Amino acid sequence: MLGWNAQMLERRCAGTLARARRMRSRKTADREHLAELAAYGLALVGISIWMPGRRAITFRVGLPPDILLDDTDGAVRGVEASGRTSGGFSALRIVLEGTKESPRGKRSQLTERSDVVEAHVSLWCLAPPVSLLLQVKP
Amino acid sequence: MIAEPRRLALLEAGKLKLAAKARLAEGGEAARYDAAVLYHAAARAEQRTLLVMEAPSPEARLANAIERCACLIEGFDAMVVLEIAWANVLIASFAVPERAAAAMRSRIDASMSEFVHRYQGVLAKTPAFKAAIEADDLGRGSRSLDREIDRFLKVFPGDARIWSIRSRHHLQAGDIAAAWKAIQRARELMPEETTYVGLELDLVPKHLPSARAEAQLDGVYTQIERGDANADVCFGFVGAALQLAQKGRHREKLLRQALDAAMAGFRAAGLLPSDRKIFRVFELSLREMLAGRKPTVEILYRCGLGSLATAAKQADPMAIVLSRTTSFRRLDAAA
Repeated sequence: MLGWNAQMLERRCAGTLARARRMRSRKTADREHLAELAAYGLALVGISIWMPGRRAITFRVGLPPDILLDDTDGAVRGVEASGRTSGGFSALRIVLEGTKESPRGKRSQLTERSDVVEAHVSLWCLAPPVSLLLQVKP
Repeated sequence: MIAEPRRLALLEAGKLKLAAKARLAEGGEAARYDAAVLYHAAARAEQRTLLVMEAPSPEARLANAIERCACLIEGFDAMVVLEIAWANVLIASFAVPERAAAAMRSRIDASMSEFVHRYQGVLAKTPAFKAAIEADDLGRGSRSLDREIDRFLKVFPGDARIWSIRSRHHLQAGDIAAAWKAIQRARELMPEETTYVGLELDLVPKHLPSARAEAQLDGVYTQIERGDANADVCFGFVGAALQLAQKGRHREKLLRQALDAAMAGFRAAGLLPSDRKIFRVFELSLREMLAGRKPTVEILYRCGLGSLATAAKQADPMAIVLSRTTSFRRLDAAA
């Protein structure tokens, strides 16, 4: 089970607790960004635990993978992250593989890219709590 | 191995995007605008990541165009996405094999389609604004048009051009504080865009105390002296210096600086069709003022702007030109 020390986080990055409080309490049209943000955070935790020596160099919003580990021209390596608030493992499977009607899941989006040589997918669901980190390429 | 300047630019772009996302998740009234500012900064950092690359491949160029466009879509900037960023994606796509381009564009194509749908949805609810955009006639504000512009800016708070137009309309309505706030938003979103610098300059003497306004003009004048200022900045400077001179503070110095700005504007590259005539009107008028004479409308005829002279109710050629110039330095025939 993943946990954290809120007071220590506040000491390392002032304002963290107030920001978290605002995220929990404010009503906003952009709340879907919360799950996305949490997915990024969890992916970073996954990278630091299961990919020792690898570092995130940047984030992308326009084309997968979301988190780049290496941006060498024609040989991109990275981690695609995604979060869902519900649906558990079956929701994550749809994110990864797509559906019959829409078969283009994260896996196919990454495997068909000629400029991506190594890709991982980090998926997370809030309720029930499930998370996956798997290598989809090569 | 990624070169250090590129690594740092990538790091900056990544941090800005994360900060923008966190700001959106945090919520609050200004969240969307604040996030838009961060996404615009991320788009500029992304551009630098390409500039520092050694001989980027067509795929790297397309990836960069996609990422910049995505930042501006996330940054709620309708005009730049529709008129520049998406065009860059399409142009970069031609250099990449069709299959590879389709794979790279799978996410941005869907985002763009949703973005266009959202834009069309807003325009359907803002008919006066839509008509003004289609007629390229956003120069003059009205209560109904401004209400619709505010509605548009709620959905697209990252559109610097529309903020600058809103600023102009606030100015026409006599609300200097709101005009200043709106032009500051445009400047925050696109600090590199000199059109907004020129518009801000026009507001400097109206909004800031005289001493501060003069100090700001002195800072801009060093750019003009170096030959670094373009027509937007020179135009804004002349109007601002003239306003300050009329307040009686260091009149001679300000008029001389304005004359230099008028001549620099005349020589500047990338002028709009009427720019040379406008800057010539400024130059001749300022020479008259510095000689202790009152400039007359004859100057407008000498500079090929006689049609403005016949329609004007006043006799000051500079005031006529300034009052007939729209937000983007074009002469407004309908005014």
